[in-house]
Amino acid sequence: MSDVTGVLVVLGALAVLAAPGLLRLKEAYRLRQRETVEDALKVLIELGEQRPANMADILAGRLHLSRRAALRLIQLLSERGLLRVEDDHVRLTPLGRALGLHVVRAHRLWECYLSDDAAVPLKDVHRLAEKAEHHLSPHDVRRLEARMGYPRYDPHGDPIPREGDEEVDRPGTPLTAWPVGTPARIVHVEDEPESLFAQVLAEGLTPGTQVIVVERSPQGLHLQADGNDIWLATVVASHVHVAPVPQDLPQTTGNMTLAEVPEGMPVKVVGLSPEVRGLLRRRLLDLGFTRGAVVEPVLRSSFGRGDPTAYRVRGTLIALRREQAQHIFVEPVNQAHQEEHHENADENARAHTVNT
Amino acid sequence: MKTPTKTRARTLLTPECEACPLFVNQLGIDLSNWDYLVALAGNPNTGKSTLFNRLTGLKQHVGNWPGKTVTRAEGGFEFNGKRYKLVDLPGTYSLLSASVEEEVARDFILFGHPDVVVIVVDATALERNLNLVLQVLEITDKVVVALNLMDEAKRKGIRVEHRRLARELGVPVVPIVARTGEGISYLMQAVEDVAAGRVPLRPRRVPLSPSLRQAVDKLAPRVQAIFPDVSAPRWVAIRLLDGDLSVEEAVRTGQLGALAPTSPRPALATPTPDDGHVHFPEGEALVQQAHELRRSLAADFRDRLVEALYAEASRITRAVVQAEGSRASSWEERIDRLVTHPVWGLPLMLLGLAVAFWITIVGANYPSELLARFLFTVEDMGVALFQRVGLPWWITGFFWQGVYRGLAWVVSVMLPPMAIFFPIFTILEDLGYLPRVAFNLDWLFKRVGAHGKQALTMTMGFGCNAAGVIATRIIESPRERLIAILTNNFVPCNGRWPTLIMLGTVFVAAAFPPGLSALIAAGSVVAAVVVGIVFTFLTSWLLSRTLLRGEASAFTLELPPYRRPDIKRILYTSLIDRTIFVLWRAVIMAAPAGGVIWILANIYVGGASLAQHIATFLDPFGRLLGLDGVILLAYIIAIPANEIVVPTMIMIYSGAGAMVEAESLAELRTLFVDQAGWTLLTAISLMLFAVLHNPCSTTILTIWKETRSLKWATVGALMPLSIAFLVTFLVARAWYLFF
Ligand SMILES: Nc1nc2c(ncn2[C@@H]2O[C@H](COP(=O)(O)OP(=O)(O)OP(=O)(O)O)[C@@H](O)[C@H]2O)c(=O)[nH]1
Ligand SMILES: [Mg+2]
Repeated sequence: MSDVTGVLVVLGALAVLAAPGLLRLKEAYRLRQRETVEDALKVLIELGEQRPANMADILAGRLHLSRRAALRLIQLLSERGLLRVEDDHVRLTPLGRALGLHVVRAHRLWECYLSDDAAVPLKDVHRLAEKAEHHLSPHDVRRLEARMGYPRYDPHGDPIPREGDEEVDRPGTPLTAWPVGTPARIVHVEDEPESLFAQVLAEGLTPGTQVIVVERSPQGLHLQADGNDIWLATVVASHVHVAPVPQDLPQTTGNMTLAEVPEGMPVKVVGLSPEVRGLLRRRLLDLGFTRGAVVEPVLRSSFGRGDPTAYRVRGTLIALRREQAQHIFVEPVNQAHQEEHHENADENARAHTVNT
Repeated sequence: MKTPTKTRARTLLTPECEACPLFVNQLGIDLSNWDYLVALAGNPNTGKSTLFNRLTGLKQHVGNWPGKTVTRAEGGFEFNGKRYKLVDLPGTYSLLSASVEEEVARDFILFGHPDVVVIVVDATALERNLNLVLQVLEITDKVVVALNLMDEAKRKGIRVEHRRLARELGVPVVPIVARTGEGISYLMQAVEDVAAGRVPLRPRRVPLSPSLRQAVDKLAPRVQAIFPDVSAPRWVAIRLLDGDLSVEEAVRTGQLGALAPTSPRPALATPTPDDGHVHFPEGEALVQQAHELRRSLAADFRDRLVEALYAEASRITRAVVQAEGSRASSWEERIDRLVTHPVWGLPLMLLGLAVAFWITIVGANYPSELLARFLFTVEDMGVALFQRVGLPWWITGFFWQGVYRGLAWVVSVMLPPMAIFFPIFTILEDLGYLPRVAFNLDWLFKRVGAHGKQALTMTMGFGCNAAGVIATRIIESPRERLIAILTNNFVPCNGRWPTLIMLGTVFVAAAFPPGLSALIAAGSVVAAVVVGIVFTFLTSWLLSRTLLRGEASAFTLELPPYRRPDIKRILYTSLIDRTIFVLWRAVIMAAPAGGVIWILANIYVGGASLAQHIATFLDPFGRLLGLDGVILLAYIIAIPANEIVVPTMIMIYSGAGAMVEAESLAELRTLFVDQAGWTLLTAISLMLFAVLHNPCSTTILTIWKETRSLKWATVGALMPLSIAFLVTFLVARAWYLFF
């Protein structure tokens, strides 16, 4: 009898001790479940108008689930009123669509935050945003959006849906299908599989970069980007999507960057690379690195081999690291007419302002 | 030769002002019953704080680098019978970007209801400064432009037609030299006229691009209709289109009326009890409309806006500025080339530091002795007096040998070196050398994943680590700012380097001939500082890889032109301010500590004093680190303030032995070496420990205030301490191995 009581007491004590842990486990499970649900919605959103019949397989593949778990997930989604199973395919309900778009929005805005404000390397932002997207409320996302200055594209070039949007579109043509010789702007780089993504990044081909296809052969493409020659294999190139260069953007191909300018040579700013965004972009503009400004490198940090370098701009001396200087596109100023150019440059900027 | 130039410089601005007194009555911090509220805004480093000090008689810190002021300061003055409240704001390049340190300035201009905004402008870099002026003019008409640094402009051959500039901007422009006070009465006259509404203001508006103008034209009338009090509907519209959070919030809650300088807040909104938020449907709708309109704009309309501002600024500059000769004088460039030279730059920096310490050591030696002798004579007299009156021995002991002696030690050991080192350091700061140091060292900071401006916050740490921690606000990236905060402690503050100087002089230099000793002492102090810097980089690197993982972010730093240091002000601030500061710290920190030490040294338990008991208990642990129990005890007592470490050690050692007073360094040497048994290892370990150990309690508190996080305050305290333990332990191990 007393043995039994003893065992019971011990078990009871254990239960009391373990209860908080169990609760936490349950919470974690619920969270995981929510994450899975949201991830599934994201996959459905990204599929857009396509409604393939083998949804369970697609989900199983994308979310690393077994086929049975994927089927259960679809079941769960339809129980919660997030999707409807119709004949052989599934369709998102308005509720499911809204929730899915919220998650996509959260994901892409968080990527913007990571790459612009937190200076996280581009190759890591996707992975980190995969976690964070589940912890942001619509209110958080709205604030984040405002703080990031209402960006239209995430760092991969994917469009960020606005609040209340019905769907997301993916613009752009694969580089493999782009005509030779026409300037193009990278709008999207497929971030999966990661190895290909890393290869593309290693070539400096980030969204916003302007490229020209010089030559196409069965093995691959010969490109020119920011004055560099690049060769891409066809598989890799098919992961890069491009679009025409918008009218209001400065053409940056063929121009040098401020980082390449030798000391003492005055140059004129053509524009900032779209890669500089957020606070840094505004800061550079405020310091006077606007289109048409005449800039001259006057002082190179000899210890860092020119990193940072101090530039004379608008009568002041501003030091920039190489990473920043690389994002400022410039063209030479004719030495003899330097002053005159300086005046014209700003006139041009004014004229341009009126035109846009 | 010198006088004529000076006269000409004066007559350039205000011929009659040589004779006329400044009609300003400085009121310091007396802010009662002011008639007008005036804000000082402007780009960083244009002399706002200098002007503030001149008007209020206060002593805001000034320095020749952008970002010296990071919080706002207030003061008062009287002019023509009207009382003014003056607010000194941190410098800001723009009202559009609003980084952390600039938000203070922006919010005050927006929501602080100033009657007049005085924009202090650098006459030698007008174009860049006008960018901000044009932006402020979009918000408020009540602006006076103070064209400062006219003396520098003259020196560089830059002539500014200020009347034409006033016509172009549509607001008064007054040339001044904030440092000497020239032109300030004219400036104040203009401020008064604007505040009283006596001058017609026709501020210039910047032309917008057609698409932006269309959007603004749609939005602005609605803003005006909903908020009739708002004086700048156009600007509010632009900010809404740009997605400015604080403006959006003000619109949503119906409190935008706060933007109007004079009117009270309109009670448009009705607070709803259910969620505690204020809802104002019309405002919400306005924000929504702004979101819709934003989609019609080109993605980079913000770029276009700044471009338009600069185009205008550049047009005005060309119209009003005549520059003779080159833009930068050639000697400035030559100096810049020298201080950033691949071979000479770094040695020059260290040499400068060594010279500063050398002057300090040589100069402080004699006054220190003199002070000690004087203060201890006072002690003897005091003791005699107390004994004659017949007070019990423990009152005499506690008061004179405890409280007073602690105070006397701190004053005589700390005051002279500080009074010499600080002016030297401030001269370097005023000259504009510090940003060059940041420029030189940035590549190293970048390697370790930190920010180049950390060099600036470190140099502030030489003065006081708490001040260094506050100065980190100039670093935009939160991650890099935390690194700067957590590692600031590795630069020895003024409470610690007298310890280093004492050790350098008593131990290292004693081994060399007397002629060289000061030089060697200075060298060893520099070596200690270098150790601190090395550990700054090491821990920054470690933090970037562990707790604060991340890559180096953007770095933009303005290198200000060299300016002639204001020697008079420097001497005043460093001597008077420092003296008061040190005396005050001595009174609140050292005096109580002295009392505690006396009690510990005079309560006997089982044949030994409490101090001896504790020291004996700590001794084995101290030995492990190459130190001893007394030193550890001293550091425990000195947690509130590092200044009292050396005095505490002296008092415990001498309290235990027969030694009464150690007035000269030679006697100190006898005390430490002969009585306490110090070796060279003790000195080295102590030097390392002094550089690396935990920050004082004030600094820890400041870290907590700046980060609002208990976790980081704890890390900030314990990380250096563990590093100090580890390093001294390893050094002691190595030492025992070889000797
Ligand atoms: N030659 C000269 N130097 C000046 C004058 N006014 C200010 N200075 C110097 O300019 C430097 C900057 O002055 P501050 O008053 O600290 O400038 P600030 O605008 O408050 O700077 P932040 O607080 O960084 O925004 C200091 O070294 C001053 O001594 C002036 O009229 N003439
Ligand atoms: Mg200031």
